[in-house]
Amino acid sequence: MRPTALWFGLGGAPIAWSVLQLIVYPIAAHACFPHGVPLAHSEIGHVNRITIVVSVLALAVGLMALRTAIHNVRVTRAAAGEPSAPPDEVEGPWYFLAYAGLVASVVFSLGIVMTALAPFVVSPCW
Amino acid sequence: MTTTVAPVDALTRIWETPRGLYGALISVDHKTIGKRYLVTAFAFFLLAGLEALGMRAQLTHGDARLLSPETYDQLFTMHGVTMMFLFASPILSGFSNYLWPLMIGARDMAYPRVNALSYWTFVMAGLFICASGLIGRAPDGGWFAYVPLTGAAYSPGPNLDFYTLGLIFLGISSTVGAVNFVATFFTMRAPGMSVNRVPIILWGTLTASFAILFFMPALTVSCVLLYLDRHVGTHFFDAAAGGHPLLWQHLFWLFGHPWVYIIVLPGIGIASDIIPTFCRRPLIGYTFIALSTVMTMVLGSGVWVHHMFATGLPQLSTSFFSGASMMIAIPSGVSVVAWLVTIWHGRPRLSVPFLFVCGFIVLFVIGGVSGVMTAAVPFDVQLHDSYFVVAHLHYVLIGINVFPVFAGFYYWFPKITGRMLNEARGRVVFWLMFVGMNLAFFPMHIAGMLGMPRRIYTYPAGMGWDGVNLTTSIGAIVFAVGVALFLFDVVRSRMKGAKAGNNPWEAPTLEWSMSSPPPPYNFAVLPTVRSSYPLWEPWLLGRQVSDIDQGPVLDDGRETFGTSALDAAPVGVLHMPEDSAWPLVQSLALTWVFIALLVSAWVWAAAGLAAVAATLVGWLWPNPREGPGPTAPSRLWAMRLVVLTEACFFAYLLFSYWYLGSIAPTWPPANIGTQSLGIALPNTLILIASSVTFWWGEMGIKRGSLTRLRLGLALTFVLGAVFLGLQLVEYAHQSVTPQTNAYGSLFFTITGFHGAHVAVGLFMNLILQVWAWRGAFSQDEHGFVSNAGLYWHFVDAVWVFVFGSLYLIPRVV
Repeated sequence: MRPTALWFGLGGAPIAWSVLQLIVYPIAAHACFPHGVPLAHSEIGHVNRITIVVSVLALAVGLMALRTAIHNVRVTRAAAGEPSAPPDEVEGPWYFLAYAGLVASVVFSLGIVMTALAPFVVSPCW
Repeated sequence: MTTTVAPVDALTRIWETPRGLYGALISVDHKTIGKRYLVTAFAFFLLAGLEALGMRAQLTHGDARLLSPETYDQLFTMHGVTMMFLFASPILSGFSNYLWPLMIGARDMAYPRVNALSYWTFVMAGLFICASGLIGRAPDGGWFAYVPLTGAAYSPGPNLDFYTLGLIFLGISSTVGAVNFVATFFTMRAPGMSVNRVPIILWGTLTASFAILFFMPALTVSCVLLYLDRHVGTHFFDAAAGGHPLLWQHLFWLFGHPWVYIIVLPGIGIASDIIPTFCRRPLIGYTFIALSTVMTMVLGSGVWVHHMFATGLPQLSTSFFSGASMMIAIPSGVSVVAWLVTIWHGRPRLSVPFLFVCGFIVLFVIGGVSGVMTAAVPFDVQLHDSYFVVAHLHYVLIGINVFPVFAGFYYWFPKITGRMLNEARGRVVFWLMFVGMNLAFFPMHIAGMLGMPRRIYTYPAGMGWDGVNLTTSIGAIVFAVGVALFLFDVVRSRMKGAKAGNNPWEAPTLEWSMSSPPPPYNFAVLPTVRSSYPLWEPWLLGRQVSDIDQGPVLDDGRETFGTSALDAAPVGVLHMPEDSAWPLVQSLALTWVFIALLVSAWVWAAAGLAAVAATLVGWLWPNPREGPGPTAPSRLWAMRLVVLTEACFFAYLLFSYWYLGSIAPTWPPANIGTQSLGIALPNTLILIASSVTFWWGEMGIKRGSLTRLRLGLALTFVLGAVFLGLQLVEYAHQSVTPQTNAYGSLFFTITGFHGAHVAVGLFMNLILQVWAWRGAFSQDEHGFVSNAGLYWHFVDAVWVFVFGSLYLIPRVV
């Protein structure tokens, strides 16, 4: 297994979620407060669409990370562990990290979906 | 040397700290430092408790006049500051400092002297902040110090200067401590202790340490900006001059929310490591709990706006953070289920540490549920600034910090002192604290629902709040009695407690393999680990597979193993430093600087900085016995982590620039216009060229050419000095000053701090040149050159971002 695959599986979805938060929050905030002046309606009429598009891109990264993590788990599980280790540890640190990537990818992809759903639930400004 | 009979006398001589006062002052032993952290932080806990009792005495009934409004403001602010900054985090540092090397099979932390610096700086910063109370000028703007209340106009006294400077000072301690924990985790675990075998407390402290490196700079930046607004006349938070009060809230909560996790995740680790011992079985869901710890922190770093739901932010923005906040329930819930399943499938022994862990789980669930409630925007807006929030935060902080800490005290006290705490008294302590806690804080939910606002020094009788407040005050007293009984137990058991032996709880981890208290060298032979529970292997596996009683001794000076980051394969032997007075001296010099800044004595502050620089030179001066240090993995980690946290510092400064820019009608202001490239562009090229010359010199020493290193360093120094000189010329031609408006304040602050970093880089360069001329470097030993090079390249890279933000982008956008 390539280290890049391991790290992408582990960090891809959390980073995609973090970047998504850092992009959509200022866009939404600026849309309603351009230059500090509050608007009743979003100045950027497409703010919802921008949010959804960025969320879809982030979700794509998250799902790719999930797919990579699943592959990593299979590869590392197949690798032989230390014969002397307890049964729940035979897979070793690489399996541990791959499995952690699987869980992280699921949770943070869910987080991306929740962010993507927000424009359907609330209006942009107030 | 591998042996079954270690030369313990020789090891004792090597690792023992000299006796007497001088020995106490120069000790860098992690056990000594850990115990000092525990005692000092607990003293601050008692102080914060007294402050809380003062508040509760005032609020027991309506229309009370026991305290003046001013005194009450100081009490609730200092209670928050003391608990959050001087107890909750340092007490966990105490446990981690004491336990980490014992748990991971090492003889000390990665940087023992830095460890000592972290402690002494914590003490000095704590005394600095608390000294404000002695002159009746304690901080009085709440632990989050919202502007404009805390600006010079509304808080003209020194109260908030103690706050801003004290927290910057304390940030130094937290940061160097975090660097030490991260480096220790990744370089010093015993051979075989791969990342899937470390105790959960290591995951908790590691995660918290990374969070400190990422988010502590946000607090530092906010405090620096507030100090400058108050003393230099800048306008970061002055809406009339282009600043904005919400900038403070963003910066503070970018730090503040992660800080909550910083002070609870190691507590969760303590509980997770105690549960297996008292349930007589391995922890179920180790991977999930370790990962939940990290995921909680990652999610927690992206929810800071949920503290700002009531500030009028757009609905869509708040909904992003509402969703993210609710998601934290997922990893938290997974952990709770894992603990409960472990208990269910175990054979629980209801000893005192386990009782505190059970109390922790109950309070964690209650605090977590009210956390999900406040993550809902409409609910939060309704109850914002009410006592409901006070109840929530105390369930979280006392439940997930104080209760695990007490569990840790009862659990590891025998290891630290060699004596058992009294079991019967401990049960009384637990029930007093548990009942007192719930009696004190559960009614606060009701008080909040009834509309009682936070931070009021009194309230009219007959509002319907008297009953819940009386109950709360009674609960606080019950809780305090429990703490007092614990103190009595500690003192009595320390003298007359039953002898503990090596492993009184029949616990599974390495720290219980040695005598209680541990010997100065920790391990007579360095262990090799082959499972998560090395002391339970005969029971779990039918035989001992880890090597605990035989292995390498490493007795040629202070030595321990260096291992690889993930699978802990041995990569070399680390030579640990001797005891030293420099950490104490440097923290005294830092105290000098902050006292001078407190009284705006700029010349004295500059002299103090010179003293700090002098102590650095003394600290780093090549020791004929130790040399400049080997290029060991742990040496490189420190500078990497410093660069990481410094990068965050500049990121928060640039965030401030763009935040204010985004709400300004034009940015830069129309009457100022964009910055000229006449000096800045060539200056940028000069700085980039200096990176090239440094790299050229470093490549030279890697090939064995000392001459090329000397020349490269000299050229770098000249180019860096020219950069600074030209920046001063540019300052002289500026149409704005730091006092003109927020743009001017930001321009000079950002470029000024960058210039200060260049100056530090030049200072390091000078030291390297001296060493290079003394022949201290060679092809094999040039670790400090690589470290200084990393710092210099970082400073140059930061300028690229500064140049882009301040000079280029405004011309384009």
